Amino acid sequence: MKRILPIIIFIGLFVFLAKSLYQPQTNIPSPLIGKPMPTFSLSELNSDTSLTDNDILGNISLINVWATWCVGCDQEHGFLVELAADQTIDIPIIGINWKDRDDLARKWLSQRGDPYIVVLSDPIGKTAIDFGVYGAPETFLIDEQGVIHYKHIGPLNREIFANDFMPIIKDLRR
Amino acid sequence: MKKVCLILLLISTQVSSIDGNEELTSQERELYQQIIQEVRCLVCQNQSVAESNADLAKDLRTEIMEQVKQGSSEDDIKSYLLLRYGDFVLYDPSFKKSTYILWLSPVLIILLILGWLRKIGVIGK
Amino acid sequence: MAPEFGQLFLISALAASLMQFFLGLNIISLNQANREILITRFTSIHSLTVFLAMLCLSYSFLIDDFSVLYVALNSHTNLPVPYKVAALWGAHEGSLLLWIFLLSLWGASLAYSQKFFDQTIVLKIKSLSILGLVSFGFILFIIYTSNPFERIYPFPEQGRDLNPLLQDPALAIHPPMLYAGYVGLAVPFALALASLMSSNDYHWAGIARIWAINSWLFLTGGIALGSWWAYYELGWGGWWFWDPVENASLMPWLVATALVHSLIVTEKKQLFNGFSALLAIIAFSLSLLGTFLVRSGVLISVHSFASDPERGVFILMLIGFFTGGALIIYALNQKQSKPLNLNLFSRESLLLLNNVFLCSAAGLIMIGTLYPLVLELINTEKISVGPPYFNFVILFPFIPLMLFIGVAVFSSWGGTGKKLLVNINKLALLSIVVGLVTSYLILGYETPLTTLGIILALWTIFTGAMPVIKNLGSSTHQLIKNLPMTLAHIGLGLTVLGITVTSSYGITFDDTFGFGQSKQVGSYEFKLVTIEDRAGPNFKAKVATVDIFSDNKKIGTVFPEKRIYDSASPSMTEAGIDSNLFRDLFVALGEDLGGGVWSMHLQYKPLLRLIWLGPFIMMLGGLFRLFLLKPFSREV
Repeated sequence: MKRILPIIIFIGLFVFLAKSLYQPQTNIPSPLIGKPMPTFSLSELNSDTSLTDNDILGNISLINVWATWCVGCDQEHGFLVELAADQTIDIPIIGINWKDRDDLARKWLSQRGDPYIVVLSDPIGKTAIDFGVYGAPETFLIDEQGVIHYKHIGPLNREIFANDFMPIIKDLRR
Repeated sequence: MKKVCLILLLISTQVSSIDGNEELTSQERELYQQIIQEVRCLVCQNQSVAESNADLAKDLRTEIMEQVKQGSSEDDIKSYLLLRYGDFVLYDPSFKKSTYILWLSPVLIILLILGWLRKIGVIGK
Repeated sequence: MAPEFGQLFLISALAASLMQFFLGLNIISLNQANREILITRFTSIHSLTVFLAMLCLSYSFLIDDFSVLYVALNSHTNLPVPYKVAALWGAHEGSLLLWIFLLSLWGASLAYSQKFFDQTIVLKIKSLSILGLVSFGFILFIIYTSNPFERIYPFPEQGRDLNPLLQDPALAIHPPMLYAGYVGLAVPFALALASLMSSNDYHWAGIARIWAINSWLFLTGGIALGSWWAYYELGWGGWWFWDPVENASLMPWLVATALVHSLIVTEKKQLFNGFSALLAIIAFSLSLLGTFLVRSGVLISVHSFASDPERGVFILMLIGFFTGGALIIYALNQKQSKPLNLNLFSRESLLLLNNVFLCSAAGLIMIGTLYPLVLELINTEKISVGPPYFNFVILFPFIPLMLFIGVAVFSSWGGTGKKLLVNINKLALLSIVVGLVTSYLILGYETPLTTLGIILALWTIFTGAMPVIKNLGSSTHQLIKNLPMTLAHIGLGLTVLGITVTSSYGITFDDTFGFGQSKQVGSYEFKLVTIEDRAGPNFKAKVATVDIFSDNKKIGTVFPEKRIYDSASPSMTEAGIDSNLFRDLFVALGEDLGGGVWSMHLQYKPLLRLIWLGPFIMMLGGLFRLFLLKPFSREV
């Protein structure tokens, strides 16, 4: 027994290492799924009025954390503009401008199109921390009561939205 | 005159700074240092927020500093981070069902010592 | 043309190592004497061809041949010449070339060794054959997945430069030393297997012990250098992070230490033969595992090379073949050991007990390192296991280890506890008293653990020194006999003392400084005098002048820097360090906050240098063992 124990342990280790090689690198799961979104009070990009989390309740919507310095945000922006215009899906997108400057953000949106129903400024990043943001772009799916149902890290595109977001949205709309 | 000096003195001590810990007690400094070494920089290749220069690391350090100044305890600050980022953000894994084996692994030593005792003949077969 | 010659040499090495392997098998019929000569020749050819391949790659670096992809990715025309040489092992492909080069050198050292006599020639032949196969596997790996001679067309005009973090003198020694340790463990591995597959007795132990000590020596130095380098290079002042790659070097070190001690018992008392063989197999397997972890990308680490699952698969296959094969041979051939009846306090049993602690430590580190991976696989949970866990868990095997090391020094072969306990009483008392005095009176009480650490470190040092002190009056031979053990144990004690004191009494201080401003850290005062610009060969820097005062007297000035390299990587911190044997004062520049105000990171670290002095002394012990004593001497 003593002599075969080493090889048995090794086989276990080997199989485990082999499996982890083929395991795709997953993103950090968010502990906020299923919980109400964090409370916040941020000023609106274009008017400087203060908005809180309560003000954006009432619809199934997306909260998209973005910045002008973020390459991935540039990549996904085209899709967001399309999505915002899509009447069949009809999902409002709220933007949180993260660690950025208001004037740069306004210029960026005027050049590329504005998919957001409202953009909130988080120049210090405290609200982003409350949302557990660690790298832009990040997109959250919230329901009418403001509960977070899904979080996607990285640029959005048609496929990801269709495969990951739509099933949940359909479910919520039933 | 004295009043003016006093006011000037009060104003000059209100220096705010990133990583500045002007008014901290040495206990608070230690707490801050200890926590920032246990918090993981999520955008780095396995570094604590203490070591990293990444933006996120700086933001988290600032946040932790503010909380230390407000008098939050170590547990408070760690819960704060756990609620937002999950277990991955702390280098000290929490003790829960999925980490029982991890934390109880030193038991392994006892088993090996028993094996040793058997090998040298102190314990019978 | 050089890269193409390099390729040719690699392929020749592949063939030579394959021949080296075949000559050990009975397929080719030869008498033993001729077999020995031939296998030695092919080992030489193998070493020579790998060396020539390395020369070719080096040449490409030196002439800035950016048509070679590896050179383009890791070099730059402005890179200082010594770094162009060292850049050879700066990334994955080249470091593998270094790996196989060192492996071939170890094989050559075995082939030309004078340690083999009539009975053991078979061992020599078979182990060279196994080494040939190991080399073959790795050279194949390089040629198929990690070829450093790959060309790029059209070739860039300028290289991407060597990672600035690596542009440091330590790059010249740390990887070669560390790799020498890793691959050196292949020799005891091969000898153990050779023994299992031939005479299956204990003769392999005395020979293996020499190479085990050799590898252990290099590993000790390599790990210590890595820690020292991280300390002054990374700008934070940390010297060990329990990073997966660091753990990957510590685990084989712990098992190699156990191996060295187990081989003593096997050589002298013909006991624990199976356990020694198993340790030899596990030690090299851990080296292989380390290679896998660094290069496959399964674990996140600052040290990992650019990863590629295809490479990971190949290395895993190599591990499966060599470790799996070795463990199967062990299971089949290892003889059932006779039941033992050893006294608890005999040297044999105490050495075994300490090996239990060493191996437990390695096991615990393995569990902690791989656990996040396991959890992610099982239920997609992501956790982090870092210093808080490892610092806690490592105490469990290390505290008893440090205790029993001292006891084992006084034990005798086949001895009992009675005389032993009498001998150690006084030293135990001395350690406790000095330890308590040090921690309460001299340094100031911190925690019970601190005091315990100091006492155990002192205990290890005193018990280690005792055999030499006791023999000061008698013959030189008696004195020298114990010197290696004494040095090694004292080295360990110093390391633990350094770790305990610096962790418990060190102070870290982050704050902002304006020009001319000074602040107090512990009993020292630091003053930021000024910050100026400076230009280096391939970077621009901001250099600060920081004066350090103690008791209002200036005791030193340091010049921490913040550098931006031409190749436009993120900025790098060069710390300013004022050090002596008793304490380090570490100063690093943070951020420019504007208005002549900078953030700075300061550390006071007492007895920090002991952490690296200790391993150095351990290495001296190893060197003494190798050179002063003739092997097979029964008196060791």
